This record gives sequence, structure tokens and C-alpha cells, in this order.
Amino acid sequence: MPDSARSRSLLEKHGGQASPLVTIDGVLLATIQESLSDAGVRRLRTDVGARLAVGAHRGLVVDASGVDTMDSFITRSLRDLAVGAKLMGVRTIVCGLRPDVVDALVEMGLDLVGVETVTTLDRALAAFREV
Amino acid sequence: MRSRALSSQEAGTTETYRQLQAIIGRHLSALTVGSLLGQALDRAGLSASALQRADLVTLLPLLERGARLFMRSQADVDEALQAVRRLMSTDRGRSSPPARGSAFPRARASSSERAPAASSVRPAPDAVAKGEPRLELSPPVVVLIRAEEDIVKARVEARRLAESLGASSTVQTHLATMVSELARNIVLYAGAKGTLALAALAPPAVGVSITARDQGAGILNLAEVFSGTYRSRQGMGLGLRGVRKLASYFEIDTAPGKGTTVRAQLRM
Ligand SMILES: Nc1ncnc2c1ncn2[C@@H]1O[C@H](COP(=O)(O)OP(=O)(O)OP(=O)(O)O)[C@@H](O)[C@H]1O
Ligand SMILES: [Mg+2]
Repeated sequence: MPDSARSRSLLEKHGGQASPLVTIDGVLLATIQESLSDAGVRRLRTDVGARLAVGAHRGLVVDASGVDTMDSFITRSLRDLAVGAKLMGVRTIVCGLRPDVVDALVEMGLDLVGVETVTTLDRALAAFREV
Repeated sequence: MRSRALSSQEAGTTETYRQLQAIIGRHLSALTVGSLLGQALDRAGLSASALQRADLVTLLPLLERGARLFMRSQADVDEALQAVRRLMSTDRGRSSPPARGSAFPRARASSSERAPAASSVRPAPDAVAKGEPRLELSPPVVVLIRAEEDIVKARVEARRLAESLGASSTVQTHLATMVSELARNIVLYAGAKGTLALAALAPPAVGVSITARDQGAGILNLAEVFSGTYRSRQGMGLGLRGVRKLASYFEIDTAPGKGTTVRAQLRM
């Protein structure tokens, strides 16, 4: 994918791990990597913001199925990302949260209030097709 | 000569140390007590002049080893260890507070703990503690927390240990989440100078103990943090409370300028 290749090279320039960004049918898809570092989280937010600002994206899907641990910082970052995108007029759906991760979030009293979530990536993309 | 040496040593010890002396001293001679405690402290990297209630979790397995060696019967060993465990868990939360300066001082847990006069408004310093600690199996895995990347390292180690103990993926995730919170706090608030130690619990308990230790500024508003009214600028102010919720045992030892030690255990 030219998009993801471009985003990766952009990210590598800044060091650290890239979360691939691709556009599918006008929807920006961000796939979060497994061992998400704090730097990786911040980069994701910056990159997604930059991409949304220039492109005429219909939506943003954040695929969190690769994430094995979400603590309060990562949760908040994800929420900020979604809320930020929404403020830019871009509907955002987070998909693929693992049951274990959800369990830990709930136990800790964390949540993703105001964030649209669905189980799978297919459902997330389908949600944009329906519109 | 000798008594002078002893008394000056005595003066340089903490109350917790002297309480241990008293407990072990019920079963052994003063000389043996000194050597047993000295060896246990050495191995744990602790000292009689700085020993706090919170260190007892680390010390207990070593004390047990020493007690087995020196004491006459298993009943004596059990009794002594039981007393040490009581020392760890007494005077916590709403359990009736002893008079100031009694043989059971509170564990160092609050910024204002060192203030001479206790105010009744301030919640008990150990109101944040939760549960009963279990014995740890040494040696722990220690992850140095020096930079942001070490948070991921600590999470990976936590998962690895939990997995090796046969923990479910839910438990692994809980543990990794707790570790992530504590490691990040060290990075954010303690100048990235700290350690995160992970150890399996001693059987019959099954689980992991986490000790996050740093030499940062300490948590000055501990009561507020745990009251649920606290909102931090950097985060949601939910990290420590979340860790406590996930933990089966939780304790914080912090003082201004002296750093912070969080001990948590997760039993499976
Ligand atoms: N190791 C530490 N040393 C010094 N201060 C600390 C330490 N850990 C926490 N604190 C203080 O306690 C507060 C609460 O910590 P806690 O982890 O509960 O929330 P937070 O880090 O502010 O936000 P969150 O964890 O939800 O992202 C912090 O804001 C910080 O002021
Ligand atoms: Mg925190």
C-alpha cells in the first residue's frame, strides 16, 4: 500500500514504531501495534491528526485488536484521538478491543465514554458503507 | 564497650526493626536475633536504620528461612511469622489506631506522617492499603525504569512471568496493566529513576507480586489521589486507584523527598 508505506517512512524518520495508516474507501484505518509504547501512542495521534487534516476522509477506524494491554494513559490517548477526530468532523470507530483488555479497563474503572466501538474491523468498515 | 555499641546501634534502628527484634526475641537469644535479622536484611538489601513496615513483605521469606534454621520447633517458627504478618497488616485503615508513640506505629504512608501532631482530619495514612500480603518467592525479576521504553519492557516481563505460572490471559492482562501504570508513574513523576520488581508468590499462594520503587519526590497528596476527587493534568488520575482495584494486596509507602514504593500482589 502506498499510503502505509508513506506513513511508515514518515514515522521511521521520527524513530520508534509505526502504526500503519491506510485509506480504504475514503476511511482512514489506523492499526495499532501490539507492544504500544508511549511514543507510539503519541505518534499515532499526531499522524492521524495530520492525515485527517489534509485528506477528505469520511471516517476513521482505529483497529485495536493487536493491543494486549491498555492502561489509563493508552485508554485516554485513544479516547482523545477519537474525540479529536470527531471535532474535526470525522466519525470515528474503535474496533477489535480484546475481551481481556476490556475486562481490565472495566475493573480499573476506565472507559471510552463518547467513543463508538464495534467488535470487528469488518463491522467498523461496514458501518461506513451503510451511510 | 559492648553495651555502648549496642545502644548506639539501637538508636539507629527504626521502630519496625525493633518490633521485629521483639517478635523474634520471644524465641531466640538476643545474639541470635541480631544475626538472624542482620542476615535477612543483608540479603534483602535493607538496613535496620531504614526498615519500614512496607519492607516486611520482602523480608518475610528471608526471616522464615532464618527462623527455620534457628528456632526449636515449627510451632515457634509459625508463631513468629504469624506475628510478623500481623505487624504487616495491623493498624491499617479503620482498625483501631494505637496511641502515638506506641509499639505499633503506623507505616509511613502519607506526606504529613512526619508532622509532630496528628490531625484527626487526615485519613489514616494506610487507608489506601488493601488486602493481606503473601510470601514472595525470590529472586525477583527486576526491570530498571529509566526511560519510557522500559514501560513496555516491564509489561513484557510481567506477561512472561504470569504466563510461566499458568495465569489465564485475563490475569496476564490485569498484571501487565498494573505494571504499566506503576512503571509509567515512575517515568512521569519520579524522573525515570526507579525499578519494577516482579516475583512469583510462594506456594500455596499462586500469583505475582509487583514492587515499584523510586527515589522521586514522593506522592504529596496521597489521600486526595485515593479519594477519587483527584484529577491530574497528565492523566486521568486513575492509575493508582486502578492498580489497587485490580490488586489482591496493595500498599504504598511514600514520603516527601524519599521516593515511593508501591507493593501490589495479584493472586490467580
Ligand atoms: N511514583 C510517583 N512519584 C511521585 N508522584 C507520583 C508517583 N506516582 C503517582 N504520583 C502522583 O500521584 C498522582 C496520581 O497518580 P495516578 O497514577 O493515580 O494518576 P495519573 O498518573 O495522574 O493519571 P493516570 O494514571 O490516570 O494516567 C499523579 O498525578 C502524581 O502526581
Ligand atoms: Mg499514572
